[in-house]
Formats: sequence, structure tokens, C-alpha cells
Amino acid sequence: MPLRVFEGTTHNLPIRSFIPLPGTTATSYDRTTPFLNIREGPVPQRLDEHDAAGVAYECTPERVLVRLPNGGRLLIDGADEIRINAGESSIAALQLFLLNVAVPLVLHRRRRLVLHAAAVEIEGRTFALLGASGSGKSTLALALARRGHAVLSDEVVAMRTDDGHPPAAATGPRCLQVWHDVLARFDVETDDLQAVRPGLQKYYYSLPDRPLHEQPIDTLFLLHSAHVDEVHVEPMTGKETLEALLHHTHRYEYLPGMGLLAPHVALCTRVVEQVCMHRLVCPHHRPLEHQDALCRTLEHAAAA
Amino acid sequence: MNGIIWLASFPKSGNTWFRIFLHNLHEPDEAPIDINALGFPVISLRNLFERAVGVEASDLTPDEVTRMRAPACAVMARRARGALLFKIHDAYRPTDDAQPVVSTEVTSGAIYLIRNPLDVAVSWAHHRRISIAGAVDELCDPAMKLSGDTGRLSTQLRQIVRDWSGHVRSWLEAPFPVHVVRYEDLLDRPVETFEAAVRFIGWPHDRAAVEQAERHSRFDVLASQERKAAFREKSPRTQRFFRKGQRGGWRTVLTAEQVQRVVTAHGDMMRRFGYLPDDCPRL
Repeated sequence: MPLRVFEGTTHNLPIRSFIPLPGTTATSYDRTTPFLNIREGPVPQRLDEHDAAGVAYECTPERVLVRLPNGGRLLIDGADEIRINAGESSIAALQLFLLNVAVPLVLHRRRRLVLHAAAVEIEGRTFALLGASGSGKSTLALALARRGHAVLSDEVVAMRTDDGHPPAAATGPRCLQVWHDVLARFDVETDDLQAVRPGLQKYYYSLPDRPLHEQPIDTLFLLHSAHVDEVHVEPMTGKETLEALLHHTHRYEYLPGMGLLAPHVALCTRVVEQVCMHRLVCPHHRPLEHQDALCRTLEHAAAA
Repeated sequence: MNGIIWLASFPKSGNTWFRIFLHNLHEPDEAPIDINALGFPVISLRNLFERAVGVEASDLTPDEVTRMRAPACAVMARRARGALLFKIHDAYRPTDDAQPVVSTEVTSGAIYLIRNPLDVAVSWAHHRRISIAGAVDELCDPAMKLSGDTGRLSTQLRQIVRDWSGHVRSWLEAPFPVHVVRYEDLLDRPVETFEAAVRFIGWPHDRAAVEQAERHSRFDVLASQERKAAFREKSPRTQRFFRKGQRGGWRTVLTAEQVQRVVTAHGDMMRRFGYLPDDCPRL
């Protein structure tokens, strides 16, 4: 492994890492925020007396162990360090699971509200797009990017919800993770794109750089498939919004073992009090066919 | 029973009907349950897997997902309080010599719903909006799978179903108690057939409760609900999920060649369950 240290920022989290992280921004960062250090080092096979576990993880309030395919292991130690034992895992796999699992868990530890969502800016208004796995968030983010709108973040939206300030989303990695068939739909060749992992037909699609400041969230949209004929928007109640925030919390299953469930619910409640959520309803299981209508609906909402 | 009880079937064999009955029995009310709030979800839902594993299925290769499915079942069983029931269309083993797709250790049993494959072919063709010939092809395809054609994930994981008799055999040979429910028996003797299945599951019940749940699960009740609001679990390709709910429809739909093809491929298993047509050529 190289001895070089890569510095970058994502989700307003300054990172020093022994491997580069795709899409991190190597520009200025908030010097008052402690670095997240990602380094090689000893990682136990198991965590003794863990409080919660899944197939690929074990949690205690202090540490989280994530087991990767091909023997790699990540240890999230507190809120400032991730240690890696690469095993037989490829660099690409380490990068992917750092971006999609370990860094978001650090953001949880740093009391961000971390959602499985995309955030976009349309006509100066910032929308967070929540949805289940496979519901088409990244596809919609790509469609909006191709129409000239700014994508703040995809896959993970980390929101600051400090007292006295409106909930705000930080700029995430400057890349989308998009499947080959979606790229083909937008006439994007994959020849020059990096696959997120060998063996997966999902690719990093670069986004333009953006300022790192956090942007207040104007509206939350929940992507929802139903047996309807046309794309439309439905308002949601506060109770439905809270349920959706909890349901679409990024890596929610880790929170009880990390001792973060109660504070996380408090963060969600704070957002419900300040931001509206709407259901963005799309004809069942056909989000690819309705991208234009979904984009127009969001553009209309931004102009309203 | 503790642990997981599987509601297993080849697609279009009465699984949803059976789940609606169970939900009506589990939450008895004057009115039938809303079919769009139906419990006992299908185990192949991506979200269930990801919550048990702790990483996105879309960050894993299809083979890695397959290897993690049985451990994910074990995590779900450990987290649950009491028995868990899941619908499943996967074959118990993707091939005869492959590892099971579910965890045997945390399984207490399975209800296996079976239906005449000739009627399944008709129903599958309507469900998928494909030709009868195409449906017969799939019933005879040892590598039949669901949600696995595009090289990417949807909201469900890839499910290896196998051909019709391969699916039946994989579940009947599983190393835990399996209670077989014939679709045709549900039509002929619904209360007795449902009650025997409930006894197998081990739920406390009485005949009156089973009768009420059966009434609330009748085809006309379900079709009426679907007329008022689209059924969430129906294919987007079709107008209706609850189409006819009958048997023997194949007699006016399948050609003699298509019947022969199904019988040639699945005759042994069809004979075992009384599905060989009387007028079918000798095998």
C-alpha cells in the first residue's frame, strides 16, 4: 500500500486517508472540524461483547466492525478514525465501502442526520430525494444533472440540524454511482468510467465541483411507486414524514448498537418540525420511463 | 413454532391468497384486511436483506448476495420475537448440489403451496403478459429466475426458481417439516385445508375464526377490493392480480403440444399430486 496521504473533504468532513476516496474535494475545509483519519492498522476479527450485529457488522457504542467481501475489514473507532485490514479486498471495494458505509457511520457519530437520499439544487431551492433501494434516486439525480441542475449529494445526504438553524445538507462526493443501463439510457458511454467494483456494472459518474458550504433543505421528497398513470406530488403528514425519515435513515440498523437511536430520533423530529415532505409518486416500477416527468415536476415545485 | 416458517411456492400458486387468509386470521376484524397492507412479506425484498446484512445489496456481486442470504435469514430470526413467516419463491436450493438459499438452522418448517402447472402456465402468462408458449418455456427452464435479467438490482433480489418440478422437489426434500397445501384443495375444501395449515404453523385458533378469515379471503372479496384500489403487489404489466381464481382454465387455452411439453417435463411430480390429465397421452 502507498505511504502517501490523501486529503479531501466530503459531507463537510475533512479526511486524511491512505487511499484516495472517489469524489472527495481537495479544496478548503472547515479547520475547526476534526479530521477523519483513514489508515491501515490492526482490525480484530470480532468485537467482544458487541451490542448488535448483522451479517457484515458488529457494533458497540465505541466501535463498529464491518466485514467486507474477500476478507477485508473496517473498524470505525470513535468519530475520528477508521482502520482498515484490506485482506483480499480490492482497493475499489475498500473505496466503495468507505464511501457507502464507514464514512456515513462516522457522520452519524458526529450527530449528522444521515439519510439514504440524494440532494439537488433547482432554481436556488434545495430538495432532498428519499427512496428505497432501487427506487431510482441516482437515476433521477443523473437526469437532473443532465438538465443542468446541481447535485449536492447522492446515496448519502448528511444534514446538520443545529438549534436555531434550518436543516442543511452538505456537499457530498462529486460523483454518482450509476448502473450501466441507466447510463445507456442517457447515452453515456461506460468505456471511460471507473466501475465501483470489479464485477459490478455500476460506475462512478463525475459531477462538477461545488462550494462546500451547507445548503438549507427547502423540501423533502419521497420517491414512491404506485399503480398510477402519471407522475404527481402528494403532501405528507408530520407522522408520515417522521416514519419516512426513520425508514430512509442511512444504515439505520447500526444505530441501536452504536447507542445512537434516541439522539437520531430527536434529529429526525427536529427536521419534521421545520421541513415539509411530499410524496413524489411515479407509475409503478418504471422510473426510467418517467424521468422527464419527474424532473419537470421537481422544476415546477422549485418555481412555485 | 419458533424460528422462520416459509410460505413457499412457485409463482402463481396461491401464495398471496394464503397470506391474505393468514393475515385475516392473525388480525381478526369485522371487515377483511386491506390487501394493500398485507403482512408476511417476500424474503427477497432487498430492504429486508440490507437491514440484516448492513451493506447495500447493490454494492455486492450477485454471487455475494446469494451467499449472504442464508446468514441474513439467521439475523432476522435472531432479531424477531417469536415465529416469523415469510413468502418465498426461490427454490430451496438453486441447484441440486448448491447450498440452500435460506438458513436451515433457523427454519422450523414450510408451508408448500402447489398448483397444477398447466394452470400455473396460464396464470403466469397473464401475470407477465407473455405468450402461453413463453410461460411454458419458463416452467420448463431449469434456470428460471426472477428479478435477475438486467444485470442490476430492482427492489427485489435475484431469485433462482428452477423449473416447476425442480422447485417442488427442492422444497419437499428440505430437511425440516414441510406441509403441502394444494391450491385445488383450497378451492374445494377451503376451511379444512386452511385449518390444517394453521395447525401446522402452530397458531392457536378455533373453527369460527378460520371460517371468518376464509370468508374474508374469498375471491369475490379480493376482486372487489382490487376494483376499488389497485393491488400494490400486482405486476405493472397487468390490469388485475385477482383474475379468475379457478382451476382447469388450461383446457381451453393450452394447445395439445403445450400440454404434452409440460407433462413430459413434469409428469412424475404431476402424477404424485394428481395433476396428470386423464386424457393425457401415456408417458
